[in-house]
Amino acid sequence: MATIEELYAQYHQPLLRMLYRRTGDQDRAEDIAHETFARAIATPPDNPRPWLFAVALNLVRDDGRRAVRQGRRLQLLKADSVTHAPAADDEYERLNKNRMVRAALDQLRDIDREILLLKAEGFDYDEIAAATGLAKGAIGTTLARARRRLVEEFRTQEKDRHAAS
Amino acid sequence: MPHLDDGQLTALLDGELTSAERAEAESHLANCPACRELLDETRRFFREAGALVDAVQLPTDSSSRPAGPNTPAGLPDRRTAEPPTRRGGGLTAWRSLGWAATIVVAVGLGWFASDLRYRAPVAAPISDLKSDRADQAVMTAKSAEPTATTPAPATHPVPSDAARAAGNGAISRPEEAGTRTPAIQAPAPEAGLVSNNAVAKDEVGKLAESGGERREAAERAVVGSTDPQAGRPAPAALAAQAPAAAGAVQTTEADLRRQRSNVRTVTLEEAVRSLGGTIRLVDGMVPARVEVVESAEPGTRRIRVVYFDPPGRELWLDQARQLADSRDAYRALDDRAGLLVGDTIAIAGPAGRQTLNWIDQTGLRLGLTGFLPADSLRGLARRVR
Repeated sequence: MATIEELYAQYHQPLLRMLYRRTGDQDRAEDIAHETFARAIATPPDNPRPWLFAVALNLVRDDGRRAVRQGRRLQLLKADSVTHAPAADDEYERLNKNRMVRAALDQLRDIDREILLLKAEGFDYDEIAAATGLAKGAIGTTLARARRRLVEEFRTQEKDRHAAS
Repeated sequence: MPHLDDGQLTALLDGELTSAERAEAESHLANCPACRELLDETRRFFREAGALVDAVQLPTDSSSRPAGPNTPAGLPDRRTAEPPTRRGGGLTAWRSLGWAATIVVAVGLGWFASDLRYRAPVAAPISDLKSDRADQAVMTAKSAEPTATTPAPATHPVPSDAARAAGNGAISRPEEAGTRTPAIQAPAPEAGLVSNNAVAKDEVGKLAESGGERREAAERAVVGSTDPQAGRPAPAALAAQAPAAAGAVQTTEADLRRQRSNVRTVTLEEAVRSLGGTIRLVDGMVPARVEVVESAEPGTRRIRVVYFDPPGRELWLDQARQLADSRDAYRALDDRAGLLVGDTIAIAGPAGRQTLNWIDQTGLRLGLTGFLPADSLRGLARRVR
């Protein structure tokens, strides 16, 4: 069985990335990733990758985390507000696209969004089934729906943006 | 064969069909324009959705491109995957910004001031570090014996670490500058006591030459370290160390060893339990070991996560949760430092040693200590999660 240090080295960055895509909040993503690994210490998983991602996704849904996140953001805001330089045009476009994609992701059903994000981290259908509890036979259909809806929602966001400008 | 649905076509694109299923699907596609059209549409969504998800990258890791998972598997017009590139290590991702109000205080003030007394290591080239580590290994063997009296090199950062590491089964020395090798191992039963006793008895031998109160204090330290309560020093032993907080006293190896006799290496799991189910770590750094430190203030036991910075010097992340029986002691410390939640207090130690102390939103007391400029420590403190 891998040590917690090995798990951390192997899975922390993908987990953090998935959580950031899921939440759109890096601080919150880092908090949840941290908590996920703390739980892995308390209960070492046999099949770590699906376990870690499943726990992390459960924590995202945990409303109890919200209070901690809000407290942290208040704390960091004092310094962040004065250190961010104005973004260049391309950086602005990148951030704007990032925002629109996250907004489109937010429009998906939870299970669609989670399966899409797990697939983006390289999970195969067996691992997705293990992490989400969904039947393997239903994953293809769910992914197809999730991809279509994400694209359609993103296009809607783009149209709204052009209409507003 | 009936028409293929988008679930089957998605599984085909994802490479999730068995060879028999794939052959059957491809055979059907060869003769069914409607399914080919649906395949093309499914592939467009596949690519576009993959590109959209890939566009969302961590702000501190925007260069990483995990293109592979969103690439159609084994199909003729497979997307050309951009090779993943990743910035090296979390250390480059330090977010450089100041934190809350910072107060610079004189040498030795603060909660963790009792740990600041020992001499600072001089940043040494790798070859010198290796040499030091060889010395450390020799000292480890000697210190582990109850009668050993070998003094450590005066410039060594924390010579008793090696002794404790040997006794506790922890391997925690940096192999090379810049390399952070995780090496937290479960201590052997009672091994920590044996190691601590050896160090403390050695301490008695050294202090016997000076006699007087110092000898008496050292003997009390031995009594403390042999406390059957899992190595926890008795209050008398802790009290004997209290004067150390002044920090202006010339440090001796004897002082250092007596101080370190109240430190024992524990597993990360034990540390998590001790702190109530969670522990703070520095994001992007791999701990070398975790220790329990009994401080001079009774009841203010804290957890220390030890890292090594690139030159191989120790970096400590101390953390303690206020206990019911130690509330008064903590309140006194907080009052003295004027520390509120959200504030950071910087304590300058000898030879460039710095400590940042703060209280997080959950009431956890944290201290980050290292031979780094205060601004660098603040950058690291922002990565404490």
